[in-house]
Amino acid sequence: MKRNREGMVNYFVKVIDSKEVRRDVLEGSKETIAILRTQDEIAELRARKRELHKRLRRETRELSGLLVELEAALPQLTKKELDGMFPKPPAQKATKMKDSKGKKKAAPELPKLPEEVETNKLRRLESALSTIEERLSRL
Amino acid sequence: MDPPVYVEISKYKELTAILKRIQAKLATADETIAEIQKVKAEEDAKISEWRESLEMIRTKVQGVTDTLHQ
Repeated sequence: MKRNREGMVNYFVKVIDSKEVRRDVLEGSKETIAILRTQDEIAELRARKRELHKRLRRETRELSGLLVELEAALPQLTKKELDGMFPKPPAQKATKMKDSKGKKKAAPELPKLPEEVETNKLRRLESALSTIEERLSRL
Repeated sequence: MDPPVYVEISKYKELTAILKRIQAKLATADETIAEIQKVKAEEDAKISEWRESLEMIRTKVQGVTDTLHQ
């Protein structure tokens, strides 16, 4: 009986389809290489994602700065303060205005229009911002 | 509801300019998020490939095991 270096008896197992075994082993090795390659690609994608996260953080900080700028630029004049700045017209003129109602409405409403536009824009911006936050939280 | 406030025309122009910049910034941030989502989807696809490869190795190893136990 054939013995190995340690003096133990060598036993043999019959492999019917040795080619199939070799093929399976080689294909298994091929797949491990594919996994290692995929791992490298994933590492690259993660690096790219980190960069994008940094970019988004920077953009959000800039956005926050702009919102602070916007808040600072917002006027805080109430109707009372505005009335204080522009003294009321004499009583005679007020009577005239009452007579022609159409003309009365056109003049003083002019400054209100930009404010309304402004409020709408702000609402749109707030809504857009909350959409981004929602999408970010899903990531 | 808060009482209305009044905007000076000079301030209004300033506000409009800031709002334009904010809108542009929002659009850029939106693009960045879309790009992050794209990269994330690619990463998920790669992980799926990884799982498929592992499954393939499992099948091959099972084949070898079966052959050796015949």
